[in-house]
Amino acid sequence: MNESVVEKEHGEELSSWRWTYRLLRVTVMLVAAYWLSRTGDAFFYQGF
Amino acid sequence: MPTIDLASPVFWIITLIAVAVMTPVTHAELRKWLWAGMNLVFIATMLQLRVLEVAAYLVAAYLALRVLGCREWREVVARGGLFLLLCLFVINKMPGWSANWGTGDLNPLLAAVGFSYVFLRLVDVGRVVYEGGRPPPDLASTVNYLLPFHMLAAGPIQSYEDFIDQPTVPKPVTAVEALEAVERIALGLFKKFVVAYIISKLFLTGFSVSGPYMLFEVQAHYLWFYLDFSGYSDIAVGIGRLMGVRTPENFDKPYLARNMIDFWDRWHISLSLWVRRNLFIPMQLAMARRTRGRRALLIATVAFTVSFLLCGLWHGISWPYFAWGAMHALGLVVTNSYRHGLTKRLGTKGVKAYKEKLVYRLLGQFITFQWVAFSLLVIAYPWKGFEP
Repeated sequence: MNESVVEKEHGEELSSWRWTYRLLRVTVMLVAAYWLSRTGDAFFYQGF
Repeated sequence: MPTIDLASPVFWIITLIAVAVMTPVTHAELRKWLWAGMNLVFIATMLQLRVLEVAAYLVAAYLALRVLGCREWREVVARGGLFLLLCLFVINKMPGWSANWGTGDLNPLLAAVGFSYVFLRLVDVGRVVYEGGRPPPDLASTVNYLLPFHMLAAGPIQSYEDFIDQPTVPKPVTAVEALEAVERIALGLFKKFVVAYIISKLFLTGFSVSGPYMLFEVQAHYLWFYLDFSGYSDIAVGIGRLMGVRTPENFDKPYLARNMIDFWDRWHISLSLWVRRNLFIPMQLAMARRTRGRRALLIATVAFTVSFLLCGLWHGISWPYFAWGAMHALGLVVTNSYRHGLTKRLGTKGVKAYKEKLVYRLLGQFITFQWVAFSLLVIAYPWKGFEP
């Protein structure tokens, strides 16, 4: 088995490259959300 | 007034502590109490609320639910409890009236815990226990069902059956499952704070511009609302997965809905299921018993109308929300009647062939999208004189 394979995802093997890509994507989304949330006026819907 | 601020570090610190504290615990009872403790810690810190007062209300709800599970007194408790809940609901929705009644002190507390959702959960658990479907919750489960911190802001509304039937100790979360959960949270934050925010900044004027632009803004407003609202649900589902707490899905590509019945299978699914369980089906059954199963279409029409008018008023006690409920009721009634007529005319096979035609699907999707978008315009438009 390939050493870079660390987990299985829905029956498919998840390579370390895939892990890196997905973690990077999460980081980009979180940084963008954090940055824009700091503007302080991004709150609209607060439930009913 | 304290609100749940998803951009606040406190929210995420509490979330991380909850995940760290609950994940390694495999003792069911301890896990339940730890979860209850985290929910109360959240209320005390994030919402800065009178936590002892909240605890006293929870104990009262717990005791009332225990009595509902017994034969004696349950009728009195059911009626009295429903009346009290409705009073609290009106107090929560109508702060102006509440101030005149001398109950204004309750409003910050009710608003902060998201009482609209707590109300729905209490009705659900009350109905299930009253009907004998499940046993009443113990004290820790009462806290966890009514005030799950990650579902307080905007749902989803878990059914009591789903809550009580979940494993007391979930199976351990694998690394990939944890990654998927974090991805879900990140997606929710991205939808809410980035995409929805940019749409609102670029295109939304609060319907202050009339003419052809308003037609465009109606579409952009629906898209913004979906991204913002479903973003909350993504975050709740992601946190739930990390903690091993079952959290129902709330959206399934609603913009692809081809009619209003399909739309409510895809939009705010947990509310739609609540309406079915607690309003539509009981009403339909009661009327069917009276008419001995005749006039099914008329019964469904009445049940759709009453259910969605009440659903509109649940969102807000005002004419725009009533109109929103009426538009959705009309959409559901027309869809149901059309479907009924089509089945009569074409038969089941004919309807299947009809549904497969691309042109009808696209047309249905377009009409449904517009109907929903304009129903949201009704509640977002700055009407004069309709404020509660």
